[in-house]
Amino acid sequence: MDKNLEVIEQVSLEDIRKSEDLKDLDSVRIKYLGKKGRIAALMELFKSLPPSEKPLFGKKINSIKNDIQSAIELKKKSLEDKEQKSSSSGFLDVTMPGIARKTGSAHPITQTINEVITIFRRMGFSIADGPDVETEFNNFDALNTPENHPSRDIQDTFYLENGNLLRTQTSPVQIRIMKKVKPPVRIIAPGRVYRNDTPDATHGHTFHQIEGLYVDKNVSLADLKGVLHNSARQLLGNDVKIRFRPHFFPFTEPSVEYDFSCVMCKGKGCKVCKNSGWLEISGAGMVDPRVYKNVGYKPDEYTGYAFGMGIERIAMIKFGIDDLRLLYENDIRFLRNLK
Amino acid sequence: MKFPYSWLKRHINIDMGASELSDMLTMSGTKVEQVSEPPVLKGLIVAELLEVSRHPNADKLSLCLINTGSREITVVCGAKNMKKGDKVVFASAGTVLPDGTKLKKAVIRGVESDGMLCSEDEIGLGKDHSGIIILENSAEIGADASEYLNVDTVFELEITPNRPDCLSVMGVAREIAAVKNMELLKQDFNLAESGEKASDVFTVMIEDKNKCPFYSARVIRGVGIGESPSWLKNYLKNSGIRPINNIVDVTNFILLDMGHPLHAFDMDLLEGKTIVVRTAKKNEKITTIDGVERNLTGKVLVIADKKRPVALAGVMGGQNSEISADTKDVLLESAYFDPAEIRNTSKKFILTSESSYRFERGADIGIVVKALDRAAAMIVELAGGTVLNGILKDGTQKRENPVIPCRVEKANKLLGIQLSANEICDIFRRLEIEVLSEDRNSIKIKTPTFRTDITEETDLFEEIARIYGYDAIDENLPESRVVVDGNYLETDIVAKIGESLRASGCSETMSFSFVGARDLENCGFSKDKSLKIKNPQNEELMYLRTSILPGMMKTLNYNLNRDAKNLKLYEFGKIYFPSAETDSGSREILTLGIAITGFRYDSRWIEGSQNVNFFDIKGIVENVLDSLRIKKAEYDLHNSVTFRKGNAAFIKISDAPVASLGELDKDFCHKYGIEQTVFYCELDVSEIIKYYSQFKIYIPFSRFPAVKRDIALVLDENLTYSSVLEAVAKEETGLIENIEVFDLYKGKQIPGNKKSLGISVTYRSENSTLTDKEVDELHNKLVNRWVKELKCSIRDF
Repeated sequence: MDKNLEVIEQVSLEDIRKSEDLKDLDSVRIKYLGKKGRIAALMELFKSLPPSEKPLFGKKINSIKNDIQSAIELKKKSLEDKEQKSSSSGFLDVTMPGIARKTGSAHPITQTINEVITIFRRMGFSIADGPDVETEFNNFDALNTPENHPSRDIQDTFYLENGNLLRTQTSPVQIRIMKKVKPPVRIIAPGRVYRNDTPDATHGHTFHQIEGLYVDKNVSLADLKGVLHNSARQLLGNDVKIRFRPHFFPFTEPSVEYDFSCVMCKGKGCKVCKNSGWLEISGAGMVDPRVYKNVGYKPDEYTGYAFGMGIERIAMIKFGIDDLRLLYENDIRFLRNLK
Repeated sequence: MKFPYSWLKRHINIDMGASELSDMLTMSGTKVEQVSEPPVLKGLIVAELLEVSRHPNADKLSLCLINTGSREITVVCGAKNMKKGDKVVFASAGTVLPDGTKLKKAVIRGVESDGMLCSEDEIGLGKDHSGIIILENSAEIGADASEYLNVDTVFELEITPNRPDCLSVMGVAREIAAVKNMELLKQDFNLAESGEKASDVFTVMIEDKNKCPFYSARVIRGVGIGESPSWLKNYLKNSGIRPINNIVDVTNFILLDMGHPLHAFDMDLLEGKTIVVRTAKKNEKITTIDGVERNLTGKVLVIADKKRPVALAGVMGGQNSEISADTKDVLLESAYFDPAEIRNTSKKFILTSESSYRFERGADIGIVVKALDRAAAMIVELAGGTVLNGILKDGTQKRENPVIPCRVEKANKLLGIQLSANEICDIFRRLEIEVLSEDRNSIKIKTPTFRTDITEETDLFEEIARIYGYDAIDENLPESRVVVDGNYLETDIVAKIGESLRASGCSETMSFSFVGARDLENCGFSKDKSLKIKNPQNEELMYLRTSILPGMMKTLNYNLNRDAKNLKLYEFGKIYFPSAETDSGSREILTLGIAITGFRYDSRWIEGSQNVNFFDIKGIVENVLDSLRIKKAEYDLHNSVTFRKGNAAFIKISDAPVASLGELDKDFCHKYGIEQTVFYCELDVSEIIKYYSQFKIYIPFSRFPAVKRDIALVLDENLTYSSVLEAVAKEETGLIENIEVFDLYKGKQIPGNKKSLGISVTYRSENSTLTDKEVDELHNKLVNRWVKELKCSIRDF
């Protein structure tokens, strides 16, 4: 009986040693340790033994079982090592593209609007909104641009058959807000505006503006300069300078046009800035007291400033776009390019 | 507004470089649009044409014998406009032209030419190449020709509508004088009057003194009509005005020099020797000097003689009284018209002139007579004749200029500067604003007649800032009161949706708000229920869009035509409908359009080359709703002209429709030149915002293990997955954690009108570990319910 046990142990160890791969080894495992394997057969035998022989025999079986198990474990490890090292089917071409859903891109105008909004929100401005279709009153009269005044000629307007118009500027939002809210008012209002201009590389019948308005006690032109310069630095870099030029807008007095120093040539003069060193951005000024009268504010109590910002203009500067029309062509190459 | 530098120098003694002057003007509010520097002309000589003969070998060429002062030579010339005795501009061989070409001796068709006779464009003076330059006859032979040529630096300025006083050379000089603190040069003239009284010969009268507060005129007898001297012609040409004759040129000179428009009539053509300023009578007509006959109505202000209108007041003269070569006696008009009146006439006839441009912005009533006298003196100087004694006039030139107070502290606070009353008064003095009284806190001023734009205190603040210099104002970041941001929601939600879409692989596009009638029709919208543009740029831009779809179709078409076949796009934009409820007459709805077409996967080498289908667009939309934490969206079949029948759905949230999505109809796609299958979704952003839940709330989850059971149900093809789920919902148990469909099969192994759904159910209890027995019971109950309610069977594998 004991000899039989020894033979089983030897043969099993020999089988294990001769196993060439994990599959072989597994069949060896089943042959000896499986439910119907040799060790299981020995256990059947064990049950039939008289009680006096059981303890010793049981001990021996267990010992053989343990030996086989640890031999299998050892062999398994060495086979796995061997397989990992010599694996021929496993060449991994790490240069193949990864599996991913490519993400999309936001439109450059959206990107620009969001950036400007973020900058002004950090300075405490909230967001306001107004309709694209406006009344003549909000777009012109309330903004101190009466019908019989030549300042109306500056902008070619699209009129609707219902007698209203497509706003030519985001400034009517000023009127809507001031009619609703008492000072302090500090808002920016992004949106679409329309002018009956023939489209070319720098003009379109549709474009976007962001209107800014701040009315409170003791707001000054120096504050306007500070806020616009701060926004310029965040938009285009810390060394950007700002320049105010006197101008005329019916709803601000004093009015300015403001320029940023050219980001391309650092103000030295180049093609982009037409050798002037400056990029014209948009208009601004101190809200004209005549406008306060139109919305029911007391002109002597409050002062404030308003500014506009041409989004297309800023996007073109930021992204180096030389033709406005690219922005509305929606060529997927252009859009993905500016992801 | 355009003028040459030399003209400006007649008014102010400056010697700045052109670019320095440009900067100065731009920074004080008169923006310089362009500076044209003249070419450098060297080696051009005045020569006299001695003889012109035909080139022996070429019909189109002439041989010109010229005297250059030092020699007589023959030059070949292609022009036709010269004759014997003309003074011409000669460039000899060796001369370098402004464009860099060096002239060489040349043999042209067998004849040697030792140089050339120059046209304007050849020496960079203009675009005229119709003939060679003929100089004035007094030009000295052999002299440097540039002395007689129109060589000048020309400035082009943008004058804002509030500053009509800058629409003249003198006005610009006045600005410079204010900024540089200088004096203007006096424009002296000598007007000699004859003994004959003008009032004996002619009368003027104003009928409507509101529209024309002041009218004046002078009579000049015995003028000789002719060309103006070249200095005057060059001034006008450089200012963009065509020289006509010495009388008209003088009126244009004064217009540009002083900014006041004048008009000269041929007095012999005025009937009844009288001028009446009146509104036109019914059925009156006038043919203006541009040759257009215009029907007048009772509202138009005209200048009339006894019988008929002879000019549109302040806008344009009539042909019937125009100065001609035969004119002997001139009636010279200088008047002031109400700006709104001139603007009405100008708008009515869509006719702008240099004159109307100035009157409608506001002329200077203070210089009406001075301009008249100066022009009369100049006419006598250039055209001869005598000025009759006295000025014919009606109305009053007097004007009460507003007296405006200016608070020193308010000015400083508004501008963010620190000026004393004295310093402010100095600025006013430089601007010719009269200071009536002054103390430390307040200044009282009266504006000069030419500054019609200054009517309130705030206008004075601008003047202070302008002269003080915008550059000199320091920057300040204000300490400001906190304003509560009330309107973050829409912006932030739109940003969230955008993020979700981009994560799903979609790129944002932007198209115009305008569509054509055809687009409305294609999408099944009625023209009557759309907003129409009265003055569209073209038919394709005639209506405001009522859907994002037409713009999206054009974008798809554009890209598909350029071989981009796999597209995932989205666009946010407003759509517009007429509305009686808003002041603007429009209802504007923020809307989202999403379109996908082509392959589903980017990594086709491993995921395969399937095309997108309905469930791709649905998945994208589900992600959008998920990003807003909107849970209860219901999908139902939807029919519309744009979607393929039976292949579209609409989405409802709490019974309100918020979106439609599906496969676009083939015929519809063809209308936009698209062959590929496209899936589209349009979503009402303003509506779904209402269901956005701002707050995230943690729901505790069970710590006990889950048990999964899979089953395959064979159902009628038309039974929806949601009916399978609804059957579960009725089950009174909190023990089902999740139900997931893992397989959909139709095919040979089951009957033709059936489908098999593989469903995996996860059971989990919140407070104990479920036993196999418990789960078996639950699962059996659920399956039995399905079998009963859905009349389905269980598929065996």
